[in-house]
Amino acid sequence: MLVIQPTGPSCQYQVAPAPILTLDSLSELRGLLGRVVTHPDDLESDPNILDFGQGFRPLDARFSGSGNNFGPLDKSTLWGTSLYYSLERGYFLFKNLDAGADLTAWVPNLRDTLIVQNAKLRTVSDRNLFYSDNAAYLQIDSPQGSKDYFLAFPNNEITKIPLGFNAGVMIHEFTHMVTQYFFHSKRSQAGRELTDSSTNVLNAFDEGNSDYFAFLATRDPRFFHCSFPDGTDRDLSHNKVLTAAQASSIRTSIDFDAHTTGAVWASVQYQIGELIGHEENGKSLVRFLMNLASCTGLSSSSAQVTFATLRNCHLQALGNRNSNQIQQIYQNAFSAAGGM
Amino acid sequence: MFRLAFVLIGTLTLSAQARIRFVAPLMPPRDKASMVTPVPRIQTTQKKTRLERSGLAFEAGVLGIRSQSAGDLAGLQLLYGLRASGILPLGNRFFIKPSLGYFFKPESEGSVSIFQNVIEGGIGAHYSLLLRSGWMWHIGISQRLDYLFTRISVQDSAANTPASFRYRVGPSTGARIKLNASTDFTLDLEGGVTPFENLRTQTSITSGLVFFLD
Repeated sequence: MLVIQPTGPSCQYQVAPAPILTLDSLSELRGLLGRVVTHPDDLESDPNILDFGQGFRPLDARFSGSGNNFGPLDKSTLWGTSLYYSLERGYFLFKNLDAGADLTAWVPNLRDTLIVQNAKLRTVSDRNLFYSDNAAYLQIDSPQGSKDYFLAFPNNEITKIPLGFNAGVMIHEFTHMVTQYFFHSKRSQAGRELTDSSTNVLNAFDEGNSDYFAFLATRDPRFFHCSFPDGTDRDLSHNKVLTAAQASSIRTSIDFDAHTTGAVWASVQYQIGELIGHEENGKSLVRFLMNLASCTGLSSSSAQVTFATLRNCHLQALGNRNSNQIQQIYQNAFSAAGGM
Repeated sequence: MFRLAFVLIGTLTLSAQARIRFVAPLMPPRDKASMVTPVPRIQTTQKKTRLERSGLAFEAGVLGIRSQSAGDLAGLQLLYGLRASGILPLGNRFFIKPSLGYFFKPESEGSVSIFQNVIEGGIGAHYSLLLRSGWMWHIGISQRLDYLFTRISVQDSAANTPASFRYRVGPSTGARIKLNASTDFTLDLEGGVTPFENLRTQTSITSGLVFFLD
């Protein structure tokens, strides 16, 4: 399949054939990881839309080619293909890092995941506006069980690589899904309520961890800036330190931003990866995710989660290899949070 | 030849003039006035109708491909282009229109651009339902074979999708309005389905000029 794909660091992209292995139906862009769909309405205009998946239509995809050699004929099909292709890259990234991280074993209805192209959703901050230039992973607890969505919002202002074609961004969202099933679902099942600061720490970790796995898949620490060259610094190769203001926002939830705080976690993981090898660190983080609920005590009892808690769980997943150097990296980055 | 005859007549006159009772006058000198008036060519008074004349049509227009996800107008993705057709009368109000066309659609999103190409060849069989002195209306069936590919580019990289052939067939109609003795304005509409692609519908509307060749 002819797709747009990242080719390495510094936002280099190319148009080249790449296999898409998990599709059942090419014309409907439907496969193991779900199906690409559209919806004409605001997704919250009717509760049945997200609760029951009502009104979603398969993408009307158009391809040319034959055999195993196809290419999308129009922009909508190229976008839909890119979304599925990126999620598949994320799926194989985790599966190849750890056979136990094959998401098919964790998500019974993985094929029912809806990958919504051009999603219309009102912003939380201003209900008169719709999200654009963004992407999201969403899990809905409905009467029929949980439903998973990937939302790709319209491109309005991005002049570089639109998010739908930025494999790193969609793998970031896929990692949220992995984290949801490996960690948050266990936590939710245990019914544990978290303090605000613990919630903030976990949200920041979730964002930063997703950035790191996006880097692992694309090998581009600047993947975010391929779409937002002037955005807040999310370059993983830039060492970052939690500021006093960020530490305060974690405690108070005032002006807390999970992405910028998470960028510190991502830069820490990048440094650890440079030290022990990124694949090794990736494997350790998969183990870390699968054990996080029990490691933090959140699967059995209420607990306070700090960056120190997460560091300890990561060191445990690493088997305490290079622990002094790794502790130092954590210490340098998160000392403002205390307890390191 | 003329000189020889003159000599013979002169000789006859000299040797036998006494035995001939009637002297034939000499032929007057020939001039234009004495020549036989040429028979006028027979000309028909019945002109060829536009149905009986061959022509070439050059049209510009829009090809609409049904797309529920990416429709530009009424669920159709619009490609723009040109079509050249021959018009070959068959008699009894029938004519055929072989054609060759090219349609394209450029799209872009950020630094990604997509250029869709459709090269079509086809033939239509038409019947004139109404034929008046200044215009005509025809209906028919058109079938076309499309050659499809798209050029995708991002940054400095570009590639063409593998090409495909796609057949479509459907009804068509059109009207022609006389502009002058050798030129008509034409407007053509056609619908079609692609049998091997979920019966995807396609329509086209083109207009242009027909130049008669005879």
